[in-house]
Amino acid sequence: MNCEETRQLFSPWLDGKLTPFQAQFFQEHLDGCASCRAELALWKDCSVLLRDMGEIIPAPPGFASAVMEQIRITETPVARKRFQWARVYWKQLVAGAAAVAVLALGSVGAKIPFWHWPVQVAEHQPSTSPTDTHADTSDKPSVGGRPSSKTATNTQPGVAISSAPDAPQASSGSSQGGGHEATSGPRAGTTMSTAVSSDNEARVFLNKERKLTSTLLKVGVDSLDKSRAALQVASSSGIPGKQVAAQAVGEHECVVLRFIAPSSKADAFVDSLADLGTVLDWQTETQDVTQRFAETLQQYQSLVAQRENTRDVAERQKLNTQVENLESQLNSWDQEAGQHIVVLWLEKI
Amino acid sequence: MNDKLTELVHRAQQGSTSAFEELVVLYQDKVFSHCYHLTGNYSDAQDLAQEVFVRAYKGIKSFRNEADFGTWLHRIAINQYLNLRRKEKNNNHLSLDEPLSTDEGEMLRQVAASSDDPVETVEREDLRQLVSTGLERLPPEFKAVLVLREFNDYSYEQMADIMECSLGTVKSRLNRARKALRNEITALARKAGIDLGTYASENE
Ligand SMILES: [Zn+2]
Repeated sequence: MNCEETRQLFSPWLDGKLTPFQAQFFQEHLDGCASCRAELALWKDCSVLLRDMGEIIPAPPGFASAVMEQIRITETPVARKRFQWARVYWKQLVAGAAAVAVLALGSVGAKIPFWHWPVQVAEHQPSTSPTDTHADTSDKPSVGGRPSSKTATNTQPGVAISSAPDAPQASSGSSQGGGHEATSGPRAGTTMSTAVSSDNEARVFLNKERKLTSTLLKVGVDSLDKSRAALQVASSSGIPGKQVAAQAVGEHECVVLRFIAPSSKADAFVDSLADLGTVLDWQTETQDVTQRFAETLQQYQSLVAQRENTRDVAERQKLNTQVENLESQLNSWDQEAGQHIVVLWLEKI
Repeated sequence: MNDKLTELVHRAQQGSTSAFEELVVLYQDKVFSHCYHLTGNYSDAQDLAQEVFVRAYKGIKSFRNEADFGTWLHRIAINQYLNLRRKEKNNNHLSLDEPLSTDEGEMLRQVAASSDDPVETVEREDLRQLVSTGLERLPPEFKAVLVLREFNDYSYEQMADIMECSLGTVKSRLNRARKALRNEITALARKAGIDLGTYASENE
């Protein structure tokens, strides 16, 4: 065995992968070659050094909640483009230093939507709409689960097959008023849209006005203990909330809390939070996603129909995955309906 | 997998986000470390690790129960890391070079500072710096196999499973990766004026 052949075996030797036969010739060459011995010593030390570098580095605090937040956000189509901001925002909180830039921008009034991170879907139901009565009495399956009844099976699986893929997109006007049906076709006259899967798994979604509402409130306080006061105010109103970050940013310490308030209570709640100190910033954004919900729903129904028609197993599995993804998107909209996200940023001044 | 894990995975597959969150908590350090080893910095590791779990969530139904969940997550991380690096390479020529040259410059200054005496042999700390910098300079595919093998101590079989390739490929890629690292170390040492020959002879 010459030097080159021997060096080809360095890597498997490090991993204990030489056959006895190889090992014998390998050793014989090394015994007579100082150069290869030296080179092997270097390889070995490199390997040892690499192994030393492989220590466990704990995930940063709040990592798991950030992941779950991100999962929720990515499941909501409208929030996708805000996703980048979400990441930046969270990283800045963790990183600390970079958050100075965010705060600075915020204080000069730049419309930097960093507070969009915990975006949620809120739903404003026109209480006079007959749709709502219908919705409330329909058999809604639990979130993420399957309906126990056959509510939706009044639609034949085949009905949508021919119509759905060719059906025009819901026109932009059709769903603006809320409570209107976005899908046209065989079931005109009802506001309930249904889809039936091959496994009798049906999910009923309603088209109605949906809005995303979130508020950022930045309050200067003399003590960060005010965060406890904020949580007390929230819990006395039955509003869930928690601290999502605490950070020393430059010379300012700050705490960020996040609440999910029912739309009906949100305004009063934000007012009471503003009383905690000096209001430094207050932004509310509402975005109508009614149309996007309708489009997603139509896509969902179309895919369900395609799935019914597909005999190819692989194709069917692919469709299944797509259907499930859309379903969870629609689910999270339903789940988060009627909520208003409030982000409270307390800064010690 | 133990029973608790199997049950958590099962519930997550049924759509339970709380079960999935428990899995995140259980595996976050392992995944984060892995991502840190791959990306080489904290900030990118955060992005990658989050992305890994988001993808795991979306793909949890494709997870087979006989597999190891941690290994499965590592596979997602490796794939995602390679995808990202590929994208970087295609879209952004600057970002690949700039940070590397900065790091390297810093490293070289450190090494040079400790190597004023020309007859001084390569200290272990110098070599550690060379290995660490050399690793960052490797093509991502090479870095990935070294991280799997040396950092995570995965067997060839496990690596083949994670990389979805044959044992032969694992073996040859590891060999190439180690050679590439060795070459980087030579190049870096030359730039820093370090004679690796002295290191070698000291180890006689
Ligand atoms: Zn030799």
